[in-house]
Formats: sequence, C-alpha cells, structure tokens
Amino acid sequence: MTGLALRRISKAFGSNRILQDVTVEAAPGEFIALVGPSGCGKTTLLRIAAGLEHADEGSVQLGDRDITALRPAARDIAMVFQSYALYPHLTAGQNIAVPLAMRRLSTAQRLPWIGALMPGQRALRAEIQARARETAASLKIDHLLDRKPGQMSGGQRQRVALARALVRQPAAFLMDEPLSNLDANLRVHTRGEIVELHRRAGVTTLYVTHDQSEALSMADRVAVMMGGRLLQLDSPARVYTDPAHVEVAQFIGSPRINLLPAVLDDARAARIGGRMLVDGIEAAPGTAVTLGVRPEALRFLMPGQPGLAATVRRLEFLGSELLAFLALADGTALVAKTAPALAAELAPGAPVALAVDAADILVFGPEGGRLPVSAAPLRIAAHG
Amino acid sequence: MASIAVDTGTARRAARSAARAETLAAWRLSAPAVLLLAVLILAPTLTVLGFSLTDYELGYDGIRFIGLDNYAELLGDRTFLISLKNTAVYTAIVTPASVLLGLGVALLIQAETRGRAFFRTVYFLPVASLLVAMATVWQYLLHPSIGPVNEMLRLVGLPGPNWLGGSGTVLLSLALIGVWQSVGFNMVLFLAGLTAIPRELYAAAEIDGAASAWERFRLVTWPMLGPTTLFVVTISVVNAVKVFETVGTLTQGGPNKASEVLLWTIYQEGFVYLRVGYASAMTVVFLAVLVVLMLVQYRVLDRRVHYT
Repeated sequence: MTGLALRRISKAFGSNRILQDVTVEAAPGEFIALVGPSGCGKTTLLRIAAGLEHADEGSVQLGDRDITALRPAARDIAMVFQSYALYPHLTAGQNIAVPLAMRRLSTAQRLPWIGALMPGQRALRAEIQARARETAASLKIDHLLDRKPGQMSGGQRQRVALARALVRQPAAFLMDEPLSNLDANLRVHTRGEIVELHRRAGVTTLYVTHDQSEALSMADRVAVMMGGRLLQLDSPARVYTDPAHVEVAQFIGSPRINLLPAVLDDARAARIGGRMLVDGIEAAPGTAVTLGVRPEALRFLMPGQPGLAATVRRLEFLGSELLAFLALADGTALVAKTAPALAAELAPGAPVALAVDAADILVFGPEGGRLPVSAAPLRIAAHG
Repeated sequence: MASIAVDTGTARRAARSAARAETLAAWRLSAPAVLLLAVLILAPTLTVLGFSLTDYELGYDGIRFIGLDNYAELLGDRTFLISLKNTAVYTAIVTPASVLLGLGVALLIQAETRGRAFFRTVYFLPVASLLVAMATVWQYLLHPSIGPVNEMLRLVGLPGPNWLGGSGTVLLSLALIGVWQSVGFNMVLFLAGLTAIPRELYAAAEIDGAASAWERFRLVTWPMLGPTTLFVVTISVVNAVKVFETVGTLTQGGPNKASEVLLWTIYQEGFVYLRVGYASAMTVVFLAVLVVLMLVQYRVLDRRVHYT
C-alpha cells in the first residue's frame, strides 16, 4: 500500500535538466520533507505530484491509482503555496469553501444570480458553509471568516491557506515552503502546529523546504535533493548521523559539518596534522578522502594533553551552547560546539588541543559517497 | 539646579514656529502645481461655465448675462436632443464591444507564447494611426457601389446597404470604426492587467477544482482584472462620448442628423455659427455627463474591484 509515490521522475526545461530519475515513495500517512538548496528541483517535484507540471519520464501514484496523466483537479490532493495564493476578492470563509464549492456544486449552481435558482443548491451551500466553518474553527481562525486576505496578517493568511487545503480532506497534502514568509518566532510555532495537524489528520504529506532544521524537526523521513538528484531519503536521525553523501552531510546540520581533506596512507588510515584520526577505511591506499566531523564531536583536551593542535579565532555565545571558530596549523577552519562554561579558557588567540572519537568521523570518497570503515575503530583516535 | 529647569514657554514657541515654517514650505512646494492646475484646468472650465450664462457670439459686440436661458433653449433644441441620443447609442455600442473584444484579444495573445509582440503591434496599429487619414480608407471600404464590403455582400447575394449614407446604418458604421480604433488600446491595458495576476493563483485554482479554462477565468482572471476593467470601461466611455473625427470627416452629422453627436453639435454652434454662449452651455452639459459617469463608476464600482 502506498500513500503517494513518485517513481523514476525526470524533467527537463529545454536543455536544463531539473530532475533526474528521482523516486520518492511515501507510506500512507507519512510526512516526508523534500529539502535542498534553491534550484535543486524540490518544488518542481512537488508540482509534478500536484499535476501542475508533467514529468518527461516517470509515474505518480496516489493510493492505488496511477494519477500520472490526471489534471490537478482530478487528483485527490491539496496544496499550500509559499505565497498562500489566496483569492484576494473572496473572504477567508469563501476562500476556504472554494475547493468544496468547485467539486460539490455544478457549474450552473455556481453562477451568480441564476445559481440561486438551481434546485438543491441551498442545502449544499449550507453544508459547505458548515464544513468551512468547522475547518476554520479547528485552526482557530473562525473569527476571521468575513475578512479578505488583504485585511489579515501573514500568519492569519497562512492559516486560511492551510484551512483551504484541509477542508476537502484530501488523500495527500503538498506544501511548498508554507512557513518561509513568516517571521522567525511564528515559524517555529506554526511548525509545531502543522506537525500536530498532520498527526490528527493522518494525511500523507510532502513538504518542501530549504530549511534543514524545519525538515529534521517536522518530517518522518527527509529527502535530501541536490542538483536534480535525490541523494538520500531517510529518517531525520539517519540523515544527520549517517549521511550517504558529503553534500548531504554539508547541507544537514547547523553549524555546518567540518570537512577535512586527507590522503589514505598504506595502512588505509587518514591523518590530519600528522595525527591519525581514523583507520580501516575501505579504499585503496593513496585515495583522496574527506573526513567529516560534526561540530559537537570535537572535544577540547586539557592543556598539555596530546591532540590536534588548533588556535581559537572567534567565539559565538548562543546561550545554551558556545561555538568556537578554530584554525588548524595549516590554516584549515573548524567549528566546534561546546559548553558555554568553557568560554573562559577559549580566549581568541589561545592554542588548544582537540580530540574526536573515530566513531564520530564520517569518511567520504573522492566522488562524495560514504566510505565504509571496517576495522574496530580506536576508541580515542587523536593520539600519535 | 534652577539653571537647567526646562523652559516650557520656549519649547512651545519653537514648536509653533517650526509648524509655521512647515506650512509655509508646503505652500511654496505645491505652488507651481496649484498655479498650473488653476490656469490650465480650473480657469478654462470656469470660463466656459461663465460663457454659458451669456449670449456671447464671436465677432459681435456686446455680451449680456442671460442666466439659464441657454439651458432652457437646449431643452427644446431638436438637434441637441438628437445628438444627445445619438451619442448615447454610439457609446452603448462602442463601449461594451471594444471592452469585450479588447479582453478577448488580450486573453488570446496572453495564452499564446509565439508572436506575442507581433499581434500586440498589429492590434495596436489603429490606435497609433491617424483616424482622419484612416477615415478615407473606411470611406472606400464602406462605399455603397465600389466598396469591398458591399462587393462581398453581393457575392453571397445580399443587398449591401449604403453604410455611411443611410440614416439607419450610419451610426452603426461609425460605431464599427470606433470599435476598430479602440480595441487595440483596451487590449494593451488588459494585457498589462493580465501580467500582474500571480501565476500561483491559477495553480491554486486548478488544485481547488477549477478544471476548465472558463472556471479559472471566473475564479481568478475576471475578479483579478477588476481594477483594470473599471479603468478600461471608464476610458472607453469617455472616448466614445468624445467621438468627433469620424463624424467630422465622413458624415458631418448627416444624413438628416442621423449621425449628429454631441461634440459635432458643439463644434457647429461654436465654430460655424459662432454662438459661443450657446456652445458653452452644451459643453457644460457634456462635462456634466462625463463627471456624473465618472462619479458613478468610481463611487459604486471602485469599492467592489479593489480588495485591500
């Protein structure tokens, strides 16, 4: 049983290849976030799911139906747009009722003046009104029903857009950066509300965002896209701790992961600044690799202890944590995330010694893919 | 500490003089605009209003205040009443036809990506061309015996009417030329209005179930074009009420006053019979008609087409 499946989707605009062989399958009720930098094709993929664009290759399946060739109106989906795309001439209540009116009322019944004379329309309209009000109430916007979009704040408009998508109880929800026009506070708040909403409605959801923290915090699974390709589709935890590609590691996580270039020696170990960090890497000796170290994996050693030598450049105090911007002897920049209590010892310009567990080091090959590390890793790798 | 006590009197005086200086600056800055407005727009209008209350005739000595006599005369002036009716009929044909055709052409051009600039230019040509010069072409086209229009009608066995010469058809023919001339202008305005509609609204409409083009037009295009349509209708009405060139070159109000229109009548009275006072009264009526139309459109409709 599938919720919503996009299989082997390719799409090009002229010679510009937007999507290349992308497959995303969501289980029923699953919340999948499509995340990636702008221009990675995530919005195009969403528009293909909606039927607003047609893929050059590939299929779209919703439940048991193949909807590849169906028009948006015939697909049982709803979408929330980045700009909300509310009809400015209609009140909030009318906006929310549009999807129902379009489907339940006939063309004749929707005509002004004449429509009012059509049999049965009064009962239908009352039913639609009631349903719209109910949906609005569930989003706590029932007091705004008579206002037009121009008289509402961004957050209120966003809720109306959500209500318009919810009102029809569709088989799938598509959301295109619905929070990006809100201010930071409201964004975090609404994030929680959308997750709550999704849990209550249990509707399969594709959610496009360029904000990795949004993707990690909201989704059941995260699809990381780059340059028209799907690099990884995994749980937020896996995407963060076990990235399949160096670009995924770079995109997910804030501050960014530290990347250190190294060349494997004859023992297939990687050394930085003369110190072996990790060995047992499954690649030929002489391979150029990239070591990824998350900022929180870097630990500061007591002065005098042997470790990776670095200098403190600058500190950023963030309340619950402290970011230390460091430089290795060869000038390579590093970021470490640590406890604010250490601030006193980490004055800018101070020399420090660093350690990192080998198990926390992600090794990427020359093409960017992850390289497996086989041998039982040394517990503390930052020794001579 | 008395030395730093706040002197409220001084502060208030300073605030008052600053306010005075600001008022003065405002007047100085707006003076050129106010002056030009008074000289170029208000003065001529008031002059016309003044003349309309006199029996002034160009070239004759003496000018006498006669109150509302000119207006009383207008009420019984058969020519004036006919021209009022003809102008109304002409406007009633030209405005809806040119607005709807302009919208239709704009939608077609908008929907087609190729040749957009070409079609836009072609439809705009009548607007840019000189109507007086183009009138000769229309005279030829609509000529009862040698005109191609009647030639074609004869081919299918229909008797061609004397388009510009028959009292039953002359107003319709002039309206046809009026529509031909203003469709392009309306199209350009509608095109500008169409490009301003966010594409996402159409996407939302499709997803909300507006499956056909007509439904999307009803849900998005028509309401979103509201302000444009109001403006286009206003301009079209004003232009139709001001019809003059085609009448002046092709029919001179004839035959038998069947194409007598307001501006032509005013022209006749003012420049041919030199009855400036009487022509001024007509002009005042003409202006009043336009002002009333504008007020109706903006008071009644403006609130319904702007949504913020």
